[in-house]
Amino acid sequence: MDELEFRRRTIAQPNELDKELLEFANSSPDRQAFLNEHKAFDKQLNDALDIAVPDNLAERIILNTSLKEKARKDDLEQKSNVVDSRSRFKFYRIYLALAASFVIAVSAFMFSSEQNLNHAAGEHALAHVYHELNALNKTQPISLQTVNEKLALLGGQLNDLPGKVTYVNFCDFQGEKGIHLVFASDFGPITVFIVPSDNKVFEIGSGEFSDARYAGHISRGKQADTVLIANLGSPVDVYSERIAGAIRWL
Amino acid sequence: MFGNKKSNDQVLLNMAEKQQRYEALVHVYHKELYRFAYWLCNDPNIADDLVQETFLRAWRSLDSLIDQKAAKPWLLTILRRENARRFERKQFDYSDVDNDTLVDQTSHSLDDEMEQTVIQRQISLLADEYKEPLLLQVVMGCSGDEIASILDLNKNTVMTRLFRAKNQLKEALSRDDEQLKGASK
Repeated sequence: MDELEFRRRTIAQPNELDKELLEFANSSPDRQAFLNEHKAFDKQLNDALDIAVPDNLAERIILNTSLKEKARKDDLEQKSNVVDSRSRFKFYRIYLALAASFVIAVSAFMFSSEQNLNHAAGEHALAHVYHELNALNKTQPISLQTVNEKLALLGGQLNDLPGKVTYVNFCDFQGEKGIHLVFASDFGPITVFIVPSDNKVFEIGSGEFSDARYAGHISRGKQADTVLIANLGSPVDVYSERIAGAIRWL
Repeated sequence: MFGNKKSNDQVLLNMAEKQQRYEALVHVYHKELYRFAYWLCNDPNIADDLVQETFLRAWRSLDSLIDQKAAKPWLLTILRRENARRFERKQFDYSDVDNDTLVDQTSHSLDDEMEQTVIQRQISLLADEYKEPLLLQVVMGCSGDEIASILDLNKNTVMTRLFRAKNQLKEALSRDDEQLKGASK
């Protein structure tokens, strides 16, 4: 151990010296002072870099991980389903092709002969709700103004909202633009479709409909049909009339 | 059927154990890692992202971490890799923060603050090859061996770089000191 080596190692790693070096340091007050000075310098550096860490960083990390992991798992599941069906598809390709062409031929025949038969209105509305089930899970309130901005394009206006509106969007009803909105009620989320009556989407079928989960009511209006769908057991007709009545048409 | 339930319980138990282990890891290391990331890239937002990404990756390969003592170098290796990926991707999402805007929120007196700001600036001016071992040592409290393994360097090289980093700092700081004294006269 010489003076140079001692200084070099002390400067580099003052808190990590081996026994030999410490003994060497202790053998002279100058070296001891040198060692202390460099320990203090390391401490000073550490203090200078000791910035505050953002609040809740740990909680955010844990939350972020669990959210991203969930999204990834869902994604993987979906992908594996796709791969699965693809490989099956490959295997049965010829049979599938035969079956498909048969189905197409038959349906083309039926389609042409039945002249574009509409689904019964209720069925169509329910299918739409199931197709966009996610719309029922929203919780952020949407303002009357936002709803009216969309409704204005159909020529309508609402004076007030039927409840806390959590979803509003344009939707396609057999090629016709309609409004799809969801509001919260005492009976759970209620879906409303407002569709201009010109396209006669909801013309066929009865005004009341239901399945195992939802019940619905159609108010047929002059300018638009209002379809309301809520959990089974809700007073859908009351809500439906109320909304149909609250819309002013320009 | 009962056997099935039992193995399900076991899976759930393992998941809970993994989660617990993970949360402990986050609580012990997130602050140091954030500081390290902060001084590595001089930007609080990037530092935040880097630490988030590091822990996300840590979760995904948590099973490969067998020895708890190896956790710190393991996390640092992940973080450095994430930081490197940042440069591989297009790097325009972030703007560089001016060094003058770096803020130290923990100091108390004005003098301390002054001195700490000067130190911070000088460290951020160091070349990466000196800055990184220095941050690992000073911020993360890594030993020479750990630094050598994280940076994939030999131990002597690490020591040389630490030595030079500190010499450069000392020199720069004493220069700044003289300037300050000169200014106050």
